[in-house]
Amino acid sequence: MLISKNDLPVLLDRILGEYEVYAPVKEHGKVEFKKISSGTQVCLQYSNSQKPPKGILFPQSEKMFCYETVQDGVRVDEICDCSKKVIWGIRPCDAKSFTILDDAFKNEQYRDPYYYKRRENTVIVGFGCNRPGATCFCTSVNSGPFDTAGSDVFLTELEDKYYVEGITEKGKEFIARYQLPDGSPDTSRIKESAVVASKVNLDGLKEKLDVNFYDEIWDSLWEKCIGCAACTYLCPTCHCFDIVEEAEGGKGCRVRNWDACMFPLFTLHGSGHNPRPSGKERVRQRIMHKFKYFQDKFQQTACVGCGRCIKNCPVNLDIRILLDAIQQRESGEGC
Amino acid sequence: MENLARLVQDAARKLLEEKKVDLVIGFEKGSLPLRSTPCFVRKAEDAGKLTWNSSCENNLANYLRKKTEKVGVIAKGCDARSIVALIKENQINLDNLYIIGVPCGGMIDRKKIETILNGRELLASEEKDGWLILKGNGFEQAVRKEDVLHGSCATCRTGNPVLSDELLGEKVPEKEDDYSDVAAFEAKTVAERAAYFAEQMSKCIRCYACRNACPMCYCEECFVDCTAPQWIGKSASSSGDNLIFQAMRAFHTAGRCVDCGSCDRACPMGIDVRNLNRKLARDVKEIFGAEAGMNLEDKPALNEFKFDDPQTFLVKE
Amino acid sequence: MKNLINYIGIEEDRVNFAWISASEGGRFAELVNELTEKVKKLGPNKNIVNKHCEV
Repeated sequence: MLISKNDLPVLLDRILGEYEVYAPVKEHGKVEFKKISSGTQVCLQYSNSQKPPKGILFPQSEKMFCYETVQDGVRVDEICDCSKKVIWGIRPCDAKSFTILDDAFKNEQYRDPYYYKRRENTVIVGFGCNRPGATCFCTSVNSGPFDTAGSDVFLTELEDKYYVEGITEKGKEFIARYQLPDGSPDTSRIKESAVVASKVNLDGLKEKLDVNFYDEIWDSLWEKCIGCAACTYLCPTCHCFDIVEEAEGGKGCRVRNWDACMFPLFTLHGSGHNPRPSGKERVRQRIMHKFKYFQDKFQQTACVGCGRCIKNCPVNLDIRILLDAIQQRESGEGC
Repeated sequence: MENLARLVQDAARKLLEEKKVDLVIGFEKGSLPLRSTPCFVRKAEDAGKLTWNSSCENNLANYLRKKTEKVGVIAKGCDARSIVALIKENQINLDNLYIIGVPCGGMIDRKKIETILNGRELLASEEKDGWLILKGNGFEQAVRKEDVLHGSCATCRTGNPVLSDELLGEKVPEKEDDYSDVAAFEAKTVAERAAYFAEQMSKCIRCYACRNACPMCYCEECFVDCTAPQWIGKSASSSGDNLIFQAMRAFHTAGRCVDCGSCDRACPMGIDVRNLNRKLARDVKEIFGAEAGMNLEDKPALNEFKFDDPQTFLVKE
Repeated sequence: MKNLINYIGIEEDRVNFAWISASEGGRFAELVNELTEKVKKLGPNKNIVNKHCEV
């Protein structure tokens, strides 16, 4: 199906009649996913958003429930975000990140009700990358600029229109409702010209990480890390959180906030002992979690190659270089 | 600049060869255009990795605390002032430190470059005689370096390191104090200022990059991380709490902050973090006549009490 | 501190400092009364507290 670029705002306005729509909006020179109120707000001329769209389904700060002491006990108000949502025009890397969050939040052992409900009620509209950025390395992590993984509907940008494909049943049903003109243009040339130049060799990385936990290489890799959470909070797949009470007097809320393995507090025990006492253990954890533990558990790498951590690290600690350094080290050395 | 880079390499190599230090901390070429990245050199043969250009933006004093090795550090003006301030707070042992001072004409502001590029992607850059050539897909644009200097560099008076064991290259010209930005902000109304900060702080994601990039923010436990008592909320969704975090951080670094701009540069969300620190640096100078890290003799302004300290903050009766 | 608080957009009268000796009970009460009056007049501080932003 096709939609002309000029007609897109009208289509979005129609969708807005039924759904909350989150789409890229340009503000102060930066693009972020925002809840829109009109189709004209949307800016699809963008490379990627500063913050990852994971926050739409897994907010940075989320009230789980609220409580209040009343005369005969405690009243608990459960909070349920059951609104129907559409995330419009997210890049394939970010769409794929939801398949990773799915593994963490709705797997066989554990189903997170907050994430799960939102996820079930959300239609994800992916948007192919005609011009991947210089820090993108999606093709190295089993993805690519036109990967439809995680998307229910997929858009490909043509000259004056978008080619709209239904990917999942949910997506096909969704677009059928809006009766777009038929058409299946040849997109092969666009796809061929979208080259992801940056590459990271992940072949055999997992096997190295399986055995190099005590390797000396970790002693130097972390050295410039300042231990902030710019990488983790801007990562579309990082999903650790911390639960706190925000209460005053007789009432309050239980809130969960994103947390980051880069902070010492993340693993600090009540006794004062910290099993990850320095940046070395924390950087190792971040790499291990993404490229080993997650793979052990869910058979996929917890990195989508969006490049946000590369662009935003205050000290330019580039994950590509870090992974290359691990790869280049002869296995067994220093173990 | 190329010349300075060579001098930096030579100085580092010599120090390591003569075993005067175990480690030299400097900068090497980064992985992105217009970026340099902190570099830790332990072998003389690796000294060739070191570089010097207008993107050596990080404050290397941040890496000197708790170092047990003998360290050589490449220090520009602000790094040197932070080192002095940290020595005074007993965080750095001067006996174990060798400072290679590099006079600094200012480092560029990546965010200003981003604004100029307006969505276009920078793929390569070149620096020549005070100009930067920005190159990308189908464009090439020259900008004057002085137009894209970071705010802290544009107003910096101490490009020449205040303390060093050796000084490379030629000194840069001295500049006059300029706090007109603070004065202009003060001229706004209370409501305007509150609205400005509410807007700025709504962008905060509490990644604490500002705090961690700051050489003076070295508390074992930061007040934002305390849970008993919990001074402020942990959520990033309250711009009020975010502002209190920034205001307290600024207050805690008052008289210690050298306005290196690291916090501002580190912020991935582009918040005007430096605004508060500038205000306090100006106030400390005006009220107590003190500036952080200018020499080893002066006591830090807020560590000292004088009978004639002005007390304008007291309730007027 | 008072300077900074005003700078970030909090009304100046919300924070006050004074030297009061332990023996000056009367003066202490007087100042606290004055301060509460001032703050009551200003009303709740809407500039800083409880400004929740959208995700």
